[in-house]
Amino acid sequence: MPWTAVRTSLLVATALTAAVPTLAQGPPLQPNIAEGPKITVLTGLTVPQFESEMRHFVQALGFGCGGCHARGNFASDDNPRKAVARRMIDMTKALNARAFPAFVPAEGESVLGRVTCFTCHQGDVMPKSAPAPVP
Amino acid sequence: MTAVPGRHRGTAVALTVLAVCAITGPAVAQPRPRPLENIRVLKGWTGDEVRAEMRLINEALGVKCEHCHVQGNFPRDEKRTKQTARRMIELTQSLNADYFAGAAAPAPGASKFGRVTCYTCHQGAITPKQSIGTGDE
Repeated sequence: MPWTAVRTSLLVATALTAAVPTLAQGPPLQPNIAEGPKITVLTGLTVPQFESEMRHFVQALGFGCGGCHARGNFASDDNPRKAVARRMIDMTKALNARAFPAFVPAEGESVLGRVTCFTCHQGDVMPKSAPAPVP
Repeated sequence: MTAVPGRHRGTAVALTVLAVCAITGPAVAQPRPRPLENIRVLKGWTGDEVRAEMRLINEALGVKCEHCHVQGNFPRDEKRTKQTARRMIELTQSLNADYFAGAAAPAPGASKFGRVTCYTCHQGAITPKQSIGTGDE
């Protein structure tokens, strides 16, 4: 075995040994914050809160994850609807901060606030501007 | 201006009143909607535009005029709901300006606010919904 290979093996072994105690400590007490380079507007949420919010979106707009996400790669920005969704989330956050700053969502409710995606969408992709004309 | 002697002053006033009545007479005879007073957020709108929007608000919230207005004196501001309405109109106006400036111009008879109207959130109820099964139904 050449000396460089032995040195590499030793380094890998040392790194693995150092990692073991960290893994043995178990999961952290605080739920992980959902973060990453592609999480740009729904920031500061725990992973369960983030996932729950996504389920709220599905219910509010009446379509599945594929409505905004690229199939097989949720982090990808290839679906143009994802950019629209980000803009609308941004709008809803600004709206709640301005008009309903005192509102605190209950457990399980949308973290966005008093005004949610459902407030306007009500199960449809396109929110209404006026009641449907009477036939 | 020629001074009117004291004893003729009453006659002069009466003649002036008659002249004013003669000028404004035909306008008074024709029933015209009263000019709007105390307009704070719908500034620059015509009376017809304001009245049309008010009817759309009635429909959007499922309420009558007196929900926000004092009966018999619409310009008054006593009702808290009127303050809320003004705040919500401002909110809708800025929402449309900031996020839907490129939307098509409202069709005739449609709300002048734009893509987002009172109906968009209220959908016929006073309290808009947060999620399925919330709000007053």
